[in-house]
Amino acid sequence: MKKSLKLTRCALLCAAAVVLSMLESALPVPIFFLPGCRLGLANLAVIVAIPIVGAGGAVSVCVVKSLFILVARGVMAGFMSFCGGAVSLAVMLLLFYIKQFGYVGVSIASAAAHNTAQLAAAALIMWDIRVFSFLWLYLLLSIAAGTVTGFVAGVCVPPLCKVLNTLDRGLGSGTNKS
Amino acid sequence: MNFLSVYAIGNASPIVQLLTVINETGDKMKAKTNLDKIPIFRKTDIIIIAAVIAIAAVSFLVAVKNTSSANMVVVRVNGEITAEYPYSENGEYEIKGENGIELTLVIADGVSVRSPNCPDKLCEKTGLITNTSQSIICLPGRISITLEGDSNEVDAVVG
Ligand SMILES: [Zn+2]
Repeated sequence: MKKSLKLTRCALLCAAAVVLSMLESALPVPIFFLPGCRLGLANLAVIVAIPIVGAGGAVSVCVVKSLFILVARGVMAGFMSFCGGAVSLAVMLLLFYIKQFGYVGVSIASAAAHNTAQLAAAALIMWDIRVFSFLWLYLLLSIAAGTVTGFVAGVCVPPLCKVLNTLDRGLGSGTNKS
Repeated sequence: MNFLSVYAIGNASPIVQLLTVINETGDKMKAKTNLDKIPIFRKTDIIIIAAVIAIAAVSFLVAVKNTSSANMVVVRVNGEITAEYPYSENGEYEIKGENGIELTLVIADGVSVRSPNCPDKLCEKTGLITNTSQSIICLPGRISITLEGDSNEVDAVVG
């Protein structure tokens, strides 16, 4: 029961991540942007996934998101998404575990890590460290994107957790009694 | 105990075992951290914002320092220089990249890319570049087009 519940929630969050990254790629790309690099708004699904389905579920959301980008936008975009996703998830988990920062702080740090890792992946693909001349821009953008995702996550997660916890308890007692 | 094992029924491969470990430590961690009690914003978040701004400022200064007056247009495919053209002479050149990608390099008061056959056309959308901190990149064709100054200073810094 618990397993299938978790699987369903993971699947929902994966769908949310895919929709967010589709939305993100539909946004107009400013001319100074490096191809393949994105703001990382899809991180919202991952940051929400950690409290709901735990770190393991968040890993699966990250992997599914990267696989979707791999299929939709090619091997290189998929590789960049995977690098960004892995590093930002690691930063997110670490900062959540330290418990010293709010959602906005965690979100900004993970967005900055996401963008830096994507630039590193692009630099690796191009074999050209010059790519990092865009780093300052991406870091400033990650503050904006991180504030938005952090705020949304901070508003949504506590009531969502509450609802899901009551639901879990209800389901648990229901099966026990009947 | 692992939801991911549903994907690989009865398959006890190392990957599934690894995912099980990640999943279980994740559950323990979730129970320990109590994420629904974390506030939206904490004063310590300012440290993170300040750190990101500081790194951004440093990388901006490094990028600006590497900017010098352009006089060469350098084309790289897979990181190797395949062509160099003088920036001061107007002209159009055919560039061949990886995966059958071809594009036209236009030098006329700046550098731009015209009619690429890559799927995303992002190199064309980059528009005109005019100084050495800028570059046009075609990721599908692994082509990078950069402006470089005459000094070797840039190469010394970026290797
Ligand atoms: Zn292109």
